[in-house]
Amino acid sequence: MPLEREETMRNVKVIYHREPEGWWAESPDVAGYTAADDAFGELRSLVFDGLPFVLNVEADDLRISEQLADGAPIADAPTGGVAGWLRSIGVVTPGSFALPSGSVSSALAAS
Amino acid sequence: MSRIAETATVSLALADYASTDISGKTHIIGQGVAVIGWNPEMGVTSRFALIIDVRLPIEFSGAEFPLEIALLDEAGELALVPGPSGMQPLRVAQVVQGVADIPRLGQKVADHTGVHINVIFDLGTGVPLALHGLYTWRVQLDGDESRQWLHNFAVTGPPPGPVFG
Repeated sequence: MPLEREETMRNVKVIYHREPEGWWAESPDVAGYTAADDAFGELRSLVFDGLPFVLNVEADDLRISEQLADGAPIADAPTGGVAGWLRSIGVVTPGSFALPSGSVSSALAAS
Repeated sequence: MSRIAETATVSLALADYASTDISGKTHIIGQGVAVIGWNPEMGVTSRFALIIDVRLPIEFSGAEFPLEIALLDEAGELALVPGPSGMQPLRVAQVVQGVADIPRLGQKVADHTGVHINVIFDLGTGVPLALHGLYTWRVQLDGDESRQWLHNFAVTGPPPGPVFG
């Protein structure tokens, strides 16, 4: 990523909480921000659509790092997926965390 | 608490090697491993793979949810592994989505076979775990801590050589 672009990126952490009736999200970097939904996938869409609006930034200028409330980071394709996360903690995994294309999203398969 | 976790059928297995091809089929060598070797020169385990097989009713086709993997130690606490910022837990989640190919399979077949998510966690260069350690892989779905799937394994190495003198 070009340096200029890197400098304009805003990093925001989002924490997902599981409740008996569904999910909700908060961000320690965005005071007062919460979102909720019955399903995790729908909540995630709300977060990715809503945070750029709340912060008044372009979605491309926002880097959202996600984690579950128990502290588990969510490894996604842009950060190299689980393989990328393992590399970041020093575990090298040449063919790690392969997911079948066709039965999971392509973004995950790319990781 | 989670209908996904409540209705899921999950199986875990260890193998020497596993991979998934483009058609979604899993290729496994040496499944059934319960004891992982240890490389004394590198201080890491031998290579191994964790295979996670998740099956869900067809009603969850298309549902996105987090699949969390954690490594536990003998006491059932999060096992710590060395990393750039010190010792840290080997715990991570990934958002997965099972999609049944209903147009190709037909509704009747899709209803019968359900949703299948296959996750291969291939630790190709081993993991810096303790020699003679007893560990457990733990899997949780959709953030539901009331349901967990566990798989125990051990790390062993060659017996110590004779001591002379």
